[in-house]
Amino acid sequence: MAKIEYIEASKAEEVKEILNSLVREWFFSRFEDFSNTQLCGVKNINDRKNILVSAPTGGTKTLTAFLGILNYLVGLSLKNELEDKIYAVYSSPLKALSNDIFVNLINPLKEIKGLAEKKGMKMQEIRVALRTGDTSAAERAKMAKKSPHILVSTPETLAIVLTSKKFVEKMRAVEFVIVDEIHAMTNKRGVYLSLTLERLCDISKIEPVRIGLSATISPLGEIARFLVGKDRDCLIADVKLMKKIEINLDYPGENILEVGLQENQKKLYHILDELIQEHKTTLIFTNTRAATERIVHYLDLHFPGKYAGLIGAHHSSMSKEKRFEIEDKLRKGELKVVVSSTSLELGIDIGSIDLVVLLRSPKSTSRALQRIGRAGHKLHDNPKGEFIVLDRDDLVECSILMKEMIEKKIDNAEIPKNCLDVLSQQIYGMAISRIWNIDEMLRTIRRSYCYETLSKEDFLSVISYLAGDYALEHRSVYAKIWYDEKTKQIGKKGKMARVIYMTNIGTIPAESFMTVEIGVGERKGQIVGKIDESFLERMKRGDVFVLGGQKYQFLFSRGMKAYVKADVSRNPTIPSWFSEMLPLSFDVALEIGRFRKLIKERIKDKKECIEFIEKHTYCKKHIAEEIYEYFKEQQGFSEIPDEKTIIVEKYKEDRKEVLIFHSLYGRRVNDALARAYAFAAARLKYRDIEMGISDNGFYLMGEQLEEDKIIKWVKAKDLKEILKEAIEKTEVLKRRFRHCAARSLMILRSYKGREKSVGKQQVHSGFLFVAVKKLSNEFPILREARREVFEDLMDIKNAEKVLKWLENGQVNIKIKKLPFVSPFGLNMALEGRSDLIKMEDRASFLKRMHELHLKAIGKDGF
Amino acid sequence: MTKIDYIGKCLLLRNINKKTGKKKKILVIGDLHLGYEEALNKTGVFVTRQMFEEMIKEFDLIFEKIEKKYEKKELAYTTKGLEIIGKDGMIRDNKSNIKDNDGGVGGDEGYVVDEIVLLGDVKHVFGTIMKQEWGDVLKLFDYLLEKGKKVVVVEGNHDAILEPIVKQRKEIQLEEFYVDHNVIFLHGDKDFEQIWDDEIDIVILGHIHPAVKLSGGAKVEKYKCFLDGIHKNKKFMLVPSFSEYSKGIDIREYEIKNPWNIDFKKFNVKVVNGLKILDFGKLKKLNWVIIFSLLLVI
Repeated sequence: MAKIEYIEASKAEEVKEILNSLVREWFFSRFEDFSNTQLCGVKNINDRKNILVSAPTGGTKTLTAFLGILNYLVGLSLKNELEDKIYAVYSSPLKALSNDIFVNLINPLKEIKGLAEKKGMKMQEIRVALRTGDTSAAERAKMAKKSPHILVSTPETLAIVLTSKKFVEKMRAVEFVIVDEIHAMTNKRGVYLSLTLERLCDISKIEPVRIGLSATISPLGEIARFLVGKDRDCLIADVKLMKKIEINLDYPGENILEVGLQENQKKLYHILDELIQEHKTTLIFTNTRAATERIVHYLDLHFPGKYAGLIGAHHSSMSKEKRFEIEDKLRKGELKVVVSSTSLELGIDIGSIDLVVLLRSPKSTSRALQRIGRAGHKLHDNPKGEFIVLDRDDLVECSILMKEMIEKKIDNAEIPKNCLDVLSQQIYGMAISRIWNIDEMLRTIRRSYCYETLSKEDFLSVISYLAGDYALEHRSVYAKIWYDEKTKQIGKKGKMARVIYMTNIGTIPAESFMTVEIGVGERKGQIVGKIDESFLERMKRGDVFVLGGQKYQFLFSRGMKAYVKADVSRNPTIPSWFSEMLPLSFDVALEIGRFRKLIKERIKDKKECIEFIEKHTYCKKHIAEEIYEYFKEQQGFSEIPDEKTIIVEKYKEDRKEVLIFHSLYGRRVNDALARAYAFAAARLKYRDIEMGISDNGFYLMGEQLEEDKIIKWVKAKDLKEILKEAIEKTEVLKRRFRHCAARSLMILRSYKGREKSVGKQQVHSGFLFVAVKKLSNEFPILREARREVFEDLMDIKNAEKVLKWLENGQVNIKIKKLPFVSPFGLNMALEGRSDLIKMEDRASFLKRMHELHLKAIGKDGF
Repeated sequence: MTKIDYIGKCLLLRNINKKTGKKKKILVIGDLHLGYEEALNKTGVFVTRQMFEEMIKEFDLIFEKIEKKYEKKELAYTTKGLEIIGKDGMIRDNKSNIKDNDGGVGGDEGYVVDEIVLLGDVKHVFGTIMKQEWGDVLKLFDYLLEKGKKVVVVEGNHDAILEPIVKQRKEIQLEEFYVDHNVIFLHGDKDFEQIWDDEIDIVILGHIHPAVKLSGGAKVEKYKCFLDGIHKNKKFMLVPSFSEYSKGIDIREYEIKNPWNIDFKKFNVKVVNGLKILDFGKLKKLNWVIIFSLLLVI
């Protein structure tokens, strides 16, 4: 069994001793002392131990990783023993970050060289090469000729390098591998990298030391295993810098129900202005791109001229150039405030930010920490954050997030396992490199943490797919590899193999925008705008959404066009920011459930309860009072749902029945549950069911909903089968299939010198989808698409867990029949309409509902 | 006099020649788009070549059904001078000299039907003929020539270069449109004045690929369908595409232009469910939500 072991910092003297005199002199000419991270990492790397270094942003992780390696290489070069080979490989998911590192690595090297020259010491040149997707062919050729000693790359280019004959020769004895930003790799890209590392180990005669660098993430043990793979030891340095997080939570105005009112809107911008003025540089996170633009716009509107040239927006729909410009200005300290959706969470140094404002909930502790960590990037500054919330659910959620952050509890990340599409691409790459024995290939693959449990059947099904077995006499068209059952050997097929592989490599699906066109009626053919492809993914026929202030009903999509019906009278069913919205993590959701229970137990004693909330969440008194009022209303009108009780509320709206399930488990779990229950409801009555999903629960709406039957119909053991049926014809499965088909090279993005547009890919994958289903409903790539929907998009495992809790009585369902929607149900019921209702209207609506609730409850409350 | 039956995605016409009393069976087949797979392969989409085999399997079932359905029972109609109502509900002219059976072709010749009409778009690729197309189209022709005495292809918009293949089999007739008595067959992308001849009662088209989306509440599924209705005193019948790669287009969602500006939403829907047909009434009155089990049970 491999050993995963947490370690403490070494003594500064020990680390000093390791460094050779030249490097030591350079280091102390630049820094006063070793950082905590360096004390943890440098010696162990020097001792050739695999290590995962986890430290909050603002640490000195990168230099930690490089210091030991530089020390070793400088030592060799002074002795004139530096060989013509790649000693260290560095991989980072961000192209821009690679550039950053390049500069940070080159400079120390230059300085050390300068120092050596000054001392008259002779030193061989230590070469560093950067290879990303942007590297030109000429530069690549140069690299292959004169090998770099340190190769800086992205996960994708690293895989390409491994299939390049010339480069591979330089990689026969790689000694170190650095995986930077490993916390951002808990996805298919990470899965891909884990296999690439195994391929590297296969090529290299020595096992390279693996060094993982991570921001705050949990569980570290799993991440360490992910870094090193099967049967390898790993040390974990969990560096908790002495940093204390300063954090506060508030909302604009006196009363949270009135936040949306015009005068309070003003207050929001005044609060923001105050915060910005009190600090040097402020970074505001908003969760959605639209909100980012809005904040920038209104700050300017409320304070004309004040922010001219001092404010910037930064989000993923902006052009690369524009984003670089903002980043550059930030580094130079030219901006006073930057507003971002999610794009500034990761990576590159963005200079001295001293306050991070989180507008609305960041949905998970690790994300909140990551964001707040952007402030005080300098070593000894404390990160400072301010939550600003705009509604009652956010208030509760953020107070729990704040508690978790202060208590340093981090939600668990999950890494996808046994992805068959990534596997297909990698096997192809492996076969291009050389001829393999099939058992040896499987052994190598299973060394990756992500494929430890890969079954032989699944592996063989991928081999069979790649060998074109299913194509019978046309095998030659489809086969990417050959497999000889007698000799058990596997090799590549086709002269174009290497080119196809290199031009189609990668795991990030090509996403783009869909043109929205009116498909029926008088305005047929008119183009009304564009929507995000991932937004479309969440839509089903009949869904109503808002675009440019107008309501449209989704009909169907074809290629890159979404066809809609205009002039709809129905209410919107899906908010446009839905796909951008991050899901609440399961762990935080459970924590809120627990919190609800604790409040429920104390709800009768107002004073005690408010004191409890204050203490429990570290919030201010008026926040605790607001939370108390919210819960009291819910308890009086209906009942507080909590970790042990799912309240299902039933009421009527426009002749239809609504069931609101208060299942606080996060959107990924609720996605699975809601679809299963909606499917049950539809099956039982054969009627169309409308459904809405949120982090706090979901609703079903339709004629005559028999809640008892619906609830009974869905069982934990059947969930997967029900969902399999329920998603079979959905956009989401088709789109995920396209992504998987591209990853597994069933659809080539680039073929014979031609690039295929996303639209073409989409149309073609539609046909492929039909054909594959006819071949077998269990075709490996189709199964992978389903897995992605179930496990990555939804959270079927935890949904099953919830259903099991219901079955064994650990959690109960209680039905409440109500005259109208409850306080806790309000946000859920409103969600779909949020695009249409102006903030003011929403606020007055909430207020009106609030009065209705109070009236229904009566004066004393219970 | 024409009697039309639905056999899966195809139509079977039985025409009686008023003068000679001769009757014949015509099988009508919608768009095929053979060779589509190779076209996709060429662009780097590795879809397998399974369409042709599947089609032949389907054709086998269709011909089998025709043979079963129209065999022998016609003996009942031989009595001269009586008005006869056949088992299939068809009223026959008692003056017509019906001799032996309903189908013109006898068992001796080994044909199942007299004529087969392909409604165009037999092959997929526009400007060239690909390997798969050469092979599959010829194989299909040979197959059909075994089943029908005569095979007629009306040219579709995808068939610009079909002629070289047709020339390989001189029994195959390639036409812009084809008339049999009161019925005209055409692809459907172009208008022909012959449609409006007085003789013509029925216009049969391909090209549009009609389909309807039906929902059982929990999920929506698309089904191929026939659409028929009256336009300017002629009965128009839209035949679904035969190819299973695309189900087709639901006209309620996306209106396809046609040369006659007919609003197909006024037409009747007949949904294809295996070899059976389900009548759903007028398209525009068809509720999106149809009880799913209907399709499963029947």
